[in-house]
Amino acid sequence: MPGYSPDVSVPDIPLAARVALAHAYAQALAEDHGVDLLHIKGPAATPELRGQRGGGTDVDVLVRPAHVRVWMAALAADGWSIDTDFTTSSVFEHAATLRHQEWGLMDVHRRYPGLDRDPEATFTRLWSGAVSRPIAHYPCPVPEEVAERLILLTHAARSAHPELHADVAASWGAADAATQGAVEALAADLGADVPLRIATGRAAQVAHLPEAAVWLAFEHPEDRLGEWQARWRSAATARAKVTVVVRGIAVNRHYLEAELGRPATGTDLARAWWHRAGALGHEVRRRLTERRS
Amino acid sequence: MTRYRPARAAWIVQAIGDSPVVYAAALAHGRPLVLADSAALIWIALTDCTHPATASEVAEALAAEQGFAAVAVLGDVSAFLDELVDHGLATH
Repeated sequence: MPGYSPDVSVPDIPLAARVALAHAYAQALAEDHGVDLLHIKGPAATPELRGQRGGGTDVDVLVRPAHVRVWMAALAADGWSIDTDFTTSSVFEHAATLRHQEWGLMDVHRRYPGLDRDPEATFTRLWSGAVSRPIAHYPCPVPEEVAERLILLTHAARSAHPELHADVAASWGAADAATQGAVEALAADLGADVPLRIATGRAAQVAHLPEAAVWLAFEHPEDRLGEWQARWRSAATARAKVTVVVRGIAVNRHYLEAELGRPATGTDLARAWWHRAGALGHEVRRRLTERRS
Repeated sequence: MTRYRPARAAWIVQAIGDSPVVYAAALAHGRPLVLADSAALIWIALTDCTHPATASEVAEALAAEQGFAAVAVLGDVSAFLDELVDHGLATH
């Protein structure tokens, strides 16, 4: 056979292939450290629920809350660095984004917004029904299909126009009555009724509930103050409200360092904090002006 | 007689034009690698084997698939299987 010279090389790998391999890598690493995690979205998703996004652009995993500390340490030891930590990732503080030179990006979910009334119990429920799906020929645990639909729908509830979200059409609109009923039953069990109704065009049924405020704020993604006000209304305790205020003006050290291209000093953090607090103040003044006019 | 089988690994087979390419990684601490052309064919032949295979068996499987004499590629196949072992993708 002419030119028969088998070779191994390390050129660029297409994104979809790299993401699939990275899911398998994550699963093997989790097994080595005794960590329970579920693979969600991208190549972990049921094909008919993937919409047009295909293989995804990063690895998404939902980790058993009690195992998060071990998992983050395992990733750090294997060369992963934090892009965004849990407390600065989103209004829900649910996920950290990590980066690896060869594997790319991974979103580590310590809980899932809308399914976070009792994160440990939710994970146990999802884990008990999990099924094995080969990703890059490696068996990976994924949520069973009803849970997968609910995860996609609660994710869609965080968009400005959930009713237009492709996942709603695939996970709800195309589902038969029995499947929709199963999704609703699971949502009721896990405390996800509010985001499910918002995602499926029934926001009016839950808009009066305190926990709906933070979800309905996503209708106006440009409105940072509205988001924090909604979060304030949804925070259940005085302690939680104080945390909301501190986080509302906290600076994401990781973003700042990426922007600066060097470790942030105390002066850098103070300057960025002042800028962010000023921006929030500007938003308050704009609101007051609008009310007066 | 040394026998080979895939190690704990992840892999994806794609086609670039008429040529197969395999993206593979030894788990959990290997890094993603690309096996192109004949390297991809050897990997595919190895993973298609239902039992640990000798270099001769892999070469014969390739020969039957590709239409050439197994003896012509046995040396390359044998060397490459050892290389796969070095990369953690195959094991004895």
